[in-house]
Amino acid sequence: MDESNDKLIEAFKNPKNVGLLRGANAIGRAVDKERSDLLKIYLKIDNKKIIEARFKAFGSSSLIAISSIATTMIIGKPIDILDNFDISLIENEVGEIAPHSRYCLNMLCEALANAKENYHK
Amino acid sequence: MEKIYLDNAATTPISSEVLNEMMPYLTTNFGNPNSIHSFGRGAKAGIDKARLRVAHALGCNPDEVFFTSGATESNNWFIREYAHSNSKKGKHIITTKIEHPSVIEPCKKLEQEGYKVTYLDVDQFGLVKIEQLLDCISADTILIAVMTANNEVGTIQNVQAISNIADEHGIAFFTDATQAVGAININMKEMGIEALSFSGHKINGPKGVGVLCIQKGVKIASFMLGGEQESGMRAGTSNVAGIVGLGKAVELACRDVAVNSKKLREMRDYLIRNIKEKIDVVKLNGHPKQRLPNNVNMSFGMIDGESLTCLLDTCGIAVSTGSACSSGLTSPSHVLQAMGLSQDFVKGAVRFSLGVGVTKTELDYVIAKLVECVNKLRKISPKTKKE
Repeated sequence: MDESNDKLIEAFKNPKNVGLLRGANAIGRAVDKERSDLLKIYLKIDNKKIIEARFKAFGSSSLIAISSIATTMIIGKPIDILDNFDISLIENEVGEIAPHSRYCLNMLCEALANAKENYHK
Repeated sequence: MEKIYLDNAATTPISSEVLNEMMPYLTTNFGNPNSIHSFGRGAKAGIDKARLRVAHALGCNPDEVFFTSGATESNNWFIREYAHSNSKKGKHIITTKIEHPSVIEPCKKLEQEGYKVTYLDVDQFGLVKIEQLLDCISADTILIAVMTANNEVGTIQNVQAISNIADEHGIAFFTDATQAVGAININMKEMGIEALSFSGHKINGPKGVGVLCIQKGVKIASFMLGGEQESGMRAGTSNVAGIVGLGKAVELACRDVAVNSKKLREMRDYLIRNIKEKIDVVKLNGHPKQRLPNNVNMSFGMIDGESLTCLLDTCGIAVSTGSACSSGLTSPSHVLQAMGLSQDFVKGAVRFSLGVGVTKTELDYVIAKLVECVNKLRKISPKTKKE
């Protein structure tokens, strides 16, 4: 955990949007093989809008914190946000991230892209 | 918020007795021990006393004690320079897969220079396989380097048996005793240990100072050139206050080893018992009995040890994942991997290393918070089946 980023610390201590999402119609998954970290994102999309987002994470404190912030960020947004979701977008929201935690950004983007691919209209 | 420090294998606070002993050497008695005037002689007397204390505590002669900047330097010095100084005898070194990186990395460097290094396997408890050691000894073997006790899982090796084997084959035996000094009794002469290293800050002494004890007759080149300090073996103005502090710390640690170990063992077993009773899918890593009295290394299934360490930190509890030296890295523990743990248990490992002042009340708080934190992280984990 990057001790200098208060937003990350708060998100890790009190993560939002944790758990399975019943009725999810877009589920994404990302694995970091080197670290054996696993992230699952569950989205409920209705009328081209993300109405609910949740996650489950097996991994570092940064992965949990970033997933909490990112899922909060996309709730209520049009589904198109998933097409343009890249590292800079989440970085702007989260703030400075320590180099050893940057892999979490890649995992998050991968899980969201995977969710979009798996979206059942 | 209450703060509880359970990371004493990483470092320890300086005890008041050690600090009191050091203070004059940071203030009034500040001389350079190489100076011939009274200030210099005063500082030199402090170093001489510390050298005597180390020799007395570890069963060697004072002139076999060399002060360094810490165990990392001592390990680098001994492995590399012993190999270089004895290369005509042979170029084979035997060590283990669970050594500290300050032993493994110099060995890797020697491999690049043409030496052959055997890294011994360990069993599921972290013990070196003696049969494998016997099998790999050859006429070319010049050194056996096996740590006394492991810094991550606390397993204490069968040092006497390994030392005997080295002796029977005319091979030097070196042991990194950083975690063991003050935890178990060590006597270099009686145990036939040719060389031994440790640090001051693991035994309530200061940081930045350590020891390499080398028995007389062991051929080894100096570590640094450019001065006559440490009998010309390690040049550079001596860290007088640090050395004085280390001397006092080792004296106290070895004097109180029986009393402290008994108390720590009781606390350690209380913590292990309670964790096993109150949390499911846990595993004690390391040997169940032959382990350091202050070490509890547990794997918690379905969660990441780093996350658990960070969450416990928010409750004021300081523990660590693996060793302090490697917890900043994301690579999995080489020690737990060598012991054959599953990937998930390697990832879920946390080390609690107790200090002698720890109380049952503190441990009860730790156990209660640990249960909360593990449950919280398991709710987040996709590896947990139930919601």
